[in-house]
Amino acid sequence: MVEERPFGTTLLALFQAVTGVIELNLGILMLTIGNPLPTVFPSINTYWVGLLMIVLGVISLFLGRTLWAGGASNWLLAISLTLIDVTIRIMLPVTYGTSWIAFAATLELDIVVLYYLTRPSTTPFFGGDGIRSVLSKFKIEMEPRMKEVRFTLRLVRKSYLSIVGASIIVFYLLVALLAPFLADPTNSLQQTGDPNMMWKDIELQATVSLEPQGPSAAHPFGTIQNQYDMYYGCIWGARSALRVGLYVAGGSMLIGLLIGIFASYYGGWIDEALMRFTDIIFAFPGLILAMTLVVVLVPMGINRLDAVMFALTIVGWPGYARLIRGEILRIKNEDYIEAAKSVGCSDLRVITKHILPNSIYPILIVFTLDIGTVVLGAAALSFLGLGAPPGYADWGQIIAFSVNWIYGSPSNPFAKWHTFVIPGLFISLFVMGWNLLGDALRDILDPTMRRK
Amino acid sequence: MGLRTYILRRLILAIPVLFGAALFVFAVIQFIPVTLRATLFVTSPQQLRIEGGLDRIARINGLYDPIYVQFYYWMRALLVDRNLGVDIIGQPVFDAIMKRLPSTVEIVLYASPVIIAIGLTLGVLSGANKDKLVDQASRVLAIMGTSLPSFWFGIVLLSIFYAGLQWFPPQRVGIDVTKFIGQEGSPWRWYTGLVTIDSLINGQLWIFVDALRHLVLPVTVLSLLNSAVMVRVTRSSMLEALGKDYITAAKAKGLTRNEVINKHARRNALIPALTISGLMVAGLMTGVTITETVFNMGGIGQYAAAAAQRYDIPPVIGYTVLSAVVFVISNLIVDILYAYIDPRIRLG
Repeated sequence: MVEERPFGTTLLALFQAVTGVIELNLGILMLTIGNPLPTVFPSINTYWVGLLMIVLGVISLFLGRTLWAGGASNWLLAISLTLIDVTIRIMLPVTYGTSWIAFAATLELDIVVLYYLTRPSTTPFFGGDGIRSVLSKFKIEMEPRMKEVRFTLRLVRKSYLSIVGASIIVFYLLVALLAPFLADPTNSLQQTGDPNMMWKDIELQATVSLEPQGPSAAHPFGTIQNQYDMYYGCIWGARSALRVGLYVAGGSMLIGLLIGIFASYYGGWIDEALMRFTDIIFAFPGLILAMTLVVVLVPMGINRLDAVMFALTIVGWPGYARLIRGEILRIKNEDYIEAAKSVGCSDLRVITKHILPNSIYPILIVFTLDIGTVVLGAAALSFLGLGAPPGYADWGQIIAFSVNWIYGSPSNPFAKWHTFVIPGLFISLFVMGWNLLGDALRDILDPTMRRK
Repeated sequence: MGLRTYILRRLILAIPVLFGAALFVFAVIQFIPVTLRATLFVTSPQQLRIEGGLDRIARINGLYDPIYVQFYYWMRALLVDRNLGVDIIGQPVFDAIMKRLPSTVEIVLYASPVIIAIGLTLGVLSGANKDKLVDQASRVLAIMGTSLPSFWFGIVLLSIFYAGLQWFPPQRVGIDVTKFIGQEGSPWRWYTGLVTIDSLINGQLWIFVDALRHLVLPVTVLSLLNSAVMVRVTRSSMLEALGKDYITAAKAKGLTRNEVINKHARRNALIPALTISGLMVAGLMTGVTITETVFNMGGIGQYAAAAAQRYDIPPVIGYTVLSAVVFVISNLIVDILYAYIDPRIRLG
């Protein structure tokens, strides 16, 4: 039996939809043109706030949809979405200095949503008479999914390499997260105003000039050419690597997914044109094309790091587009897709509810492996002098700085070993972590392999 | 469909891809502002002092023409005149690339057989001995090949074998050889441009040995890291072949294990491994760019990388176009070979 949607819920869903659209527009404006409302958002970092605005917009739209649809699983989803929403809305003024007043109204809306979701008169629409019955209904609805999740977790525990890979990644995530505590950015902020730049030991520079110095109490990993502190560079380099890896792999995946789905679902000349375009990108060896793009983009005034990420994304997305296209073509003619269409599912519903969940695993595996590849590519560009600006905490660049010191000194040829061994280990271990995890995920997630 | 029709069809399909690649590179160049592009045509400071300056240079060289006209001239320069522009020191890019090509060819010439040998032998062995010692070794190699930055591997090797042991120095040839070749009245003659081959033709064995010593490290870096993918692909296709019914049949009729592996499984497993050699070409070209820079070998990869560092655009564009052509043609050759070996491809 389908409960009628209470009027309050309808109203809230519509409100959320409108908020979502406004926030999406604001976010896109901030990212492309600049700050649209300088009185409401005085002196903000338009890049980060713009991105967060887009996230907020998507959450609001999604929340509106879940409120509109009802049902036990949507009830819990709506609660979690609202909580995430509240967190971001409080975080924005605290971290990025946006004014509180701008978010007070939307915060209130969230509180109203939470209030409504827990009211006895609203809960029947979500499948129960009170919170407890909704929760128990939710448990029953989710039982098959939970069973799969438990099975996956058991496979993960049994796979030694996935544990190793995952722990390496967790290690780097922690290092990146705790970077300000592991390596104090005061010196960097003083010297350059940017915590992502390595700091120089000015006193050492006055006495020994360029020559890298071995590990000491002041510099646990020693210094590299120009007396940059290597410990600081290696620790904050984890942030750079994660940023480049996640942005580029994530961006390529999103673009590739959108284009691949679009091409394969509609077929015809759209498909043909888009796939011929991927052929053209594939006609170049990836890193060489990325190098060309960086060389063209940087003189145009684009920030060097952004140019590298942009170039690697352009090179990266066709792989995802082809992969998802192949997957979709494979399952497009399956009976369950026909069935979904015949009961009148919209294209969007067929794609999001039936096609994507069945084809997403290979994409996720490639995504995991891709993060390592991307970081290696960015490091290679850094090594060629095309990556981050000089002094940026970036492993590839630290290694590039060591090239002049391969031959230590006549008495001890390995005198400067630390300049390349330490950053090299950092980057190799990072890439290895993602590769091990990706390989293990292949065995765990692939539906044709996992039950063997 | 016969083999000849298949080859013809593949050839015709490759042309639009090459054309599209050229169009793509041209489109990328269009993002550079006109005045900046005009500076690429400047060969002497006097040109700038003439009335009109950069604007005039842009007009003379047709940078204000409609896009399709510009594309026509660009393609004509590329195909007919083999003109890729001039680099920052005023040298024509095409000549510069031609001058440096032998050095790159020499590295690739030695690295490819090593890659194929390691890839196929280790792949077949680890497929046939799953989870044994060989298989574990190939797994380590695969992890190394995908996780180690090639430039870092090169630096570590240099530190050990050059700085430490003094065995294998960087650069293309030693200082004695450079002096010997460059001295007045030198008996040295260039034939192919490859030092190792020319030294044999010239009868100078010591130069041959010297050139080989200089090649060891770059070839090691290129081949170890690039063979990893081939090992994994050969291994998995070997495993797949070993699970087939005809293997069971071969075992049932009483063949020895060696006969089953060498005569039945290996031959079928090598076919999929062949398709990966197209990817190997891409890996080699990227690898060459980095390895040449690390070991200062003076090939085209190093030339392009050094130009990229100075944001000197014509050499980079020239190198990119060249690598796309090489990559597409080698993929074409791989496809044709594949069809030649496996009739199912051209008939299916």
